[in-house]
Amino acid sequence: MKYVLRRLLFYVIAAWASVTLAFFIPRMMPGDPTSTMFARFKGKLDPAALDDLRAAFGFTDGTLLEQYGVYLGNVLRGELGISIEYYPATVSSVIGNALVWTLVLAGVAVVISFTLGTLGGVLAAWRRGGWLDSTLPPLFVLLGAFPYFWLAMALLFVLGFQLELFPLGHAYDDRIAPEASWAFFSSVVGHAVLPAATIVLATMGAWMLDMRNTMIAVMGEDYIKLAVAKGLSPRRVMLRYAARNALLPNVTSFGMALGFVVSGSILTEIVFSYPGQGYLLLQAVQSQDYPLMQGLFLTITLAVLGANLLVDVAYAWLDPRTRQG
Amino acid sequence: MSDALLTVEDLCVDYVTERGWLRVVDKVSFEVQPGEIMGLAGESGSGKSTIIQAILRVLKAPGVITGGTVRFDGKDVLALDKRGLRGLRWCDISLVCQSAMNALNPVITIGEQLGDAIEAHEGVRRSQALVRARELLELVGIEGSRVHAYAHELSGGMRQRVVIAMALALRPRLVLMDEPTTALDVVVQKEILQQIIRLRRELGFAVIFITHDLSLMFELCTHVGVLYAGRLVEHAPSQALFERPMHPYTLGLMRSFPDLHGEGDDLVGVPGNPPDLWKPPKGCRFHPRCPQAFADCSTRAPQLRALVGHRHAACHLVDQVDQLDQLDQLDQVDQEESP
Repeated sequence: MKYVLRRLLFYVIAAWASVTLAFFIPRMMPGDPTSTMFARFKGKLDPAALDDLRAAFGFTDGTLLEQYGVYLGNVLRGELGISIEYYPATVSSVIGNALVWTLVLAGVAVVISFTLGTLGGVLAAWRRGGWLDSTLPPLFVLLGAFPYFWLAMALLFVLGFQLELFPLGHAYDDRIAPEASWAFFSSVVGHAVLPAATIVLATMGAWMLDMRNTMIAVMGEDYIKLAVAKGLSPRRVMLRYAARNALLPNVTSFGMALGFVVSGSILTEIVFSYPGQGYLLLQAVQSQDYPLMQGLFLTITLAVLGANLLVDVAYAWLDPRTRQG
Repeated sequence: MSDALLTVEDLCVDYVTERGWLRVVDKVSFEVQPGEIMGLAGESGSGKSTIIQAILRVLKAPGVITGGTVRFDGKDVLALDKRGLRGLRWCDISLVCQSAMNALNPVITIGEQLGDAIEAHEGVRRSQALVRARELLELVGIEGSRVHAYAHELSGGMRQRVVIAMALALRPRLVLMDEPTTALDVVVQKEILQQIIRLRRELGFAVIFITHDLSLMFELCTHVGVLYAGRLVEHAPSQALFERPMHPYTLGLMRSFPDLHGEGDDLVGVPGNPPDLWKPPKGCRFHPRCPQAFADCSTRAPQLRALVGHRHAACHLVDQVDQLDQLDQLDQVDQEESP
């Protein structure tokens, strides 16, 4: 219990630090968003309206410290301001929308990739030098070594454009109303399959190779020899003795990967015009949408922290040695 | 001697490497009688562990059994299929590993590790297996409530007890012990040894006990085999071996350890290093390090031959007509030469 509390305190401090960074970093960039907006209206906006806009976005003429105080209060209340790019939508609603799509796509893809890769690694190591071991890991490592956007575009071109097996972009068919219907659900799945497959193909090799190598190291341990000598079934030795121990280091990397899901697989979302976090981030940066950027950075860091907390908890559950810490 | 529990005959083990096949155990033969403690001694790399891993057929990747037979209670162990092998393992023959630190799976409780062998072989339910696990722990002097403990929560000595308890889970007739006390401090070592002796008396299993510590071996074992570079060079009842080693290597090994009873012999040891098995010396493999080597030793390999009193030795010296006199003289020469 003490362990969990200490971890929690650490995460609160880390969260505060990231909130603070999210405030200061955009303000170190040159330019100011209202001027950008003003320019967009090409002089058709009168200066009084400009001042109103400034006030609405919170760019009041206070000192930086005062602005920081106001901002911190807003964050605590969950008010992230109004997006400039998607004016007058609030940042929270814009991010909320994108977050769902990112979780659907990248979240599921990362989980699938980790699960399949780990399983493949376990089997490859168990029959080291067998046909599985000499085909799967090299194949997927090769796929992972391709530049990702090239792999994604090649698949999109061949499977989507030429063979027309998959839609070319977006999260679902516009002609179907987003509601809890079978048609909508299948449209979402149909649109996610190809981008998700590219993520799985590109990342599975690393999981597989990592798992295979830790597995082989673990299989050299005495307790594996003893488990075999005990006459346990090979399945039990492989899963309960070898894989169970080899999984531990990989859980850490999995947590990191899960945390970074929320930053969106930027390249995936650009190639497949998928309306997720990564796509949003690109737009926010391009249009100097400070509130949106801040909101995005905030969600990303909080997600990474959250994923780490999850790993800490999972680790305590998986590895009894960490429980005393 | 058909009543032997375990008969190992001409056992050969090779490591298959890129350079070729490396013979690491070369035609080793011995027998273990029911209930006896048989010792195997030798330097690191002499093939001790490889032999007992071959008996249970748990040799790791490059190791392959390339010849000989292993019979347990009449069964041809090397001919067993997977099912038969799983039946042999732990029910008939169990294993105690060298390092108690790594012999237990760190992420599951010791109760589960004690119980899973019982579950696997007797098909009992987990709760029953756990009850048996408690009894096993109490058998080696650990509180039954520790079944829920993990390996890292136990001291080194306790871990080794757990491993011994595990080996006895199915009441096997033979327990292979690969340096079970090497990683422990002397006091704990003594306790563990006494426990092994007590348990063997109560349960009547036979033991193959591996160590490089000959003084320990004489205390514990009924018979002792001495290995050098993958070959058995001497094999004898331990009392006879203790009183009069026939092979110069055995003598060297005995002089590598201080006498437990404090008689002030100097430690001499065996000069030089074990041979490179890729190019073992011609003739007797020990001759380059042997203080008594003569011309014959570097050309002709001595065979392990039977001598009086159930003894065996592979040395040209004991082939001489008056072996005992010869050895006495050589013993003296040896002592004069040594600093």
